[in-house]
Amino acid sequence: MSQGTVSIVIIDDEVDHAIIIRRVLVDVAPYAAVDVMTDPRKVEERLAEAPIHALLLMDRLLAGRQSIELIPALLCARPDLSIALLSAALSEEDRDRALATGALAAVEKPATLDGWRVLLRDLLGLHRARSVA
Amino acid sequence: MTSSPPSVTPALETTEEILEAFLFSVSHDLRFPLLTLSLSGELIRESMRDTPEAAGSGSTGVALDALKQGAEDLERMLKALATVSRARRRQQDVKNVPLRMLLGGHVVLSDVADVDKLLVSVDPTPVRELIDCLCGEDPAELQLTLTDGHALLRIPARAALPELDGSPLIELARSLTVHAGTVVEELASLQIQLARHAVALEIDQQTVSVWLPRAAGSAR
Repeated sequence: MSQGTVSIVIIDDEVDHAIIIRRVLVDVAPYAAVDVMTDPRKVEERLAEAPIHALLLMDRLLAGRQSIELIPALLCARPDLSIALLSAALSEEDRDRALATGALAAVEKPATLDGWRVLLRDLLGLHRARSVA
Repeated sequence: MTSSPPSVTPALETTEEILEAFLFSVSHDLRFPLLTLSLSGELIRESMRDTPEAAGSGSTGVALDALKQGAEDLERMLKALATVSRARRRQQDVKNVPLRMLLGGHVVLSDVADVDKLLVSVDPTPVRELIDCLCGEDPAELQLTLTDGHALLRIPARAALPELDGSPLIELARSLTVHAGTVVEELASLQIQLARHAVALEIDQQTVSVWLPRAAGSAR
């Protein structure tokens, strides 16, 4: 997969966070096509139409619901997707559970812009490696 | 509708679970607006880079510095709450282990005969983490005495502990502002983990005492 074809979907009902992540992605991956979803009610429907080999950056809690529970069904329907679970606070149990369900990564949201830049570069690298494999 | 009212006082276990869930929710739910504030402040600073107003003593620069400092303080305190929450959830692996195995290369000062045969019933991980936290990697001199049912270990802190006596968890609860992000937070987390398998911990100035339950049938 070349840099020019990477698609990223941000799924976060905290609109401010979604906007900030998209802003940082402009610096980190200017070549990426970025879509933002902030309405958690139609996540499953809309993700069925996500671009092929897209990287999903998904908040752990969507409208109070644990989005970890969505991962197995999403990956069953769309095994080409990579899902990175992001959370303001993540327990070890939730991290392990997310990875066990097939998430690419499960991480706490950084508190600094530089932290976000490092994280997003890392996730893109992991996504690229998985897509090539 | 049922004729009997719901229980006014939930069972203790349920209350504990609710408090635990509440503690985790607080550390999560307060962090997301904090992230919005701190990241927005950084974005403003970056967008105003190279303008005199955002630098040094300009009022925007002062305000952004204050916002950053406040956000960092809140982040530190929320992390302490998350640390306490995680300590309560951490999986335990309690087993009978030779005390000597827990102590690694540290020197044991003791009148106890057959220290090598002494078994304690603990989860080894937090005990080792406590010793590492207090002693670092270099060998230290630990004092061992036996009490009824316990091996009492007195561990000298290599790095200076803040002035506190008794329980690090209580000290942390008294002042998150002072102790969050310090060795007291680390000790409080370990105290919670150790208490879950009946290991008591107490600080007396620069020495930490730990009561490790002896395994049944262990050497006396």
